[in-house]
Amino acid sequence: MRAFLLFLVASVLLSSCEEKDQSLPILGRHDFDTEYKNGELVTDTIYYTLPDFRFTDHNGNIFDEQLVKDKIYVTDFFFTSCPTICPKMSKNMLQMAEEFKDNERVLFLSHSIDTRHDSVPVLKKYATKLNAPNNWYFVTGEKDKIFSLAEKYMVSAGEDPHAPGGVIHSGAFVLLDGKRRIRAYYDGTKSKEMNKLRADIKTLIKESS
Amino acid sequence: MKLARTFLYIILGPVIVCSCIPSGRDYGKEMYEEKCANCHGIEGDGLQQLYPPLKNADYLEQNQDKLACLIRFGTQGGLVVNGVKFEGKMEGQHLLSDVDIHNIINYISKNINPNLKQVTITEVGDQLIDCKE
Repeated sequence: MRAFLLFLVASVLLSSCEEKDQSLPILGRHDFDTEYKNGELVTDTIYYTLPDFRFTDHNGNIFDEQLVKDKIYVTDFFFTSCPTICPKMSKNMLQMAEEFKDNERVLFLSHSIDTRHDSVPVLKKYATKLNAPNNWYFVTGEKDKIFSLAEKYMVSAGEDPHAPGGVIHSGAFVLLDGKRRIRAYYDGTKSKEMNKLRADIKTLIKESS
Repeated sequence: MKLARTFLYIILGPVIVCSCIPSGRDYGKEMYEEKCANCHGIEGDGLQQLYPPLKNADYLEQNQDKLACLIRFGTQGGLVVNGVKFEGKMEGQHLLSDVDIHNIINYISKNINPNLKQVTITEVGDQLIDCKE
């Protein structure tokens, strides 16, 4: 009897250590499409997806939505001369990009919000000095388009003459799946949050394989 | 009445005693984490070739008498630290007082780069008078 109890307790304890396979929600406001099919009312969910975009990356190449097609990607908004939270964000993003550099289904994308200063050569230099792996793209483009895309990612970015560096932005990392749907947000300034991000990227890889 | 007085002593006693114990706040640590750690890192490791390390940094050891000025007025870049050239500009921390700067330097010398000497407020004050901006 006692042995049985011990066995029971041990197995409960062991199973509680197993990694839970948690799926990630699909975020944003979704639309619903209801129609009659064969006399039955059928509702399709039209998920919130990021619109098309077109920027230039740090190598001078066009970076548009085609490049994130079927890719799991992590994105943020930053600028190279940012004196406050960006260094921490870059440090954390670097760690993640390094860890997934051999997985061609995962990409990292940083948008500059100081488009006047952060030209292609400036971004190139930043990427080089950071030793950023090839799966991490730094993009620049028309300021208004970058700010409006930030809105679509539902993170804040905008000009503020009172902020250090002249622009204000959130330190969030946004995780998207291969269909350009937002799946999660992280505080990019906290190294602890990267454990969550790592696990969630792996969840998405599993989900789409 | 007597009871009330005893009660008052019981309350006041520990409060007075406790107020004499140092609060345990490390102002140097707080300042370092607020003003320096974003770029140089909590441990002073820096970040690749973008932000120079403070830990084991030969530049700090060779320029100990200029650290106060460096913190207050920043630098336009071009510093060589442990053989690596860092081109980025460092913003000056103009709002820090002499005491803040003193606390930061001593925090760094105690916790991050033990090759640095501890400084007194007078030394920091003298350095800051002679700063060439």
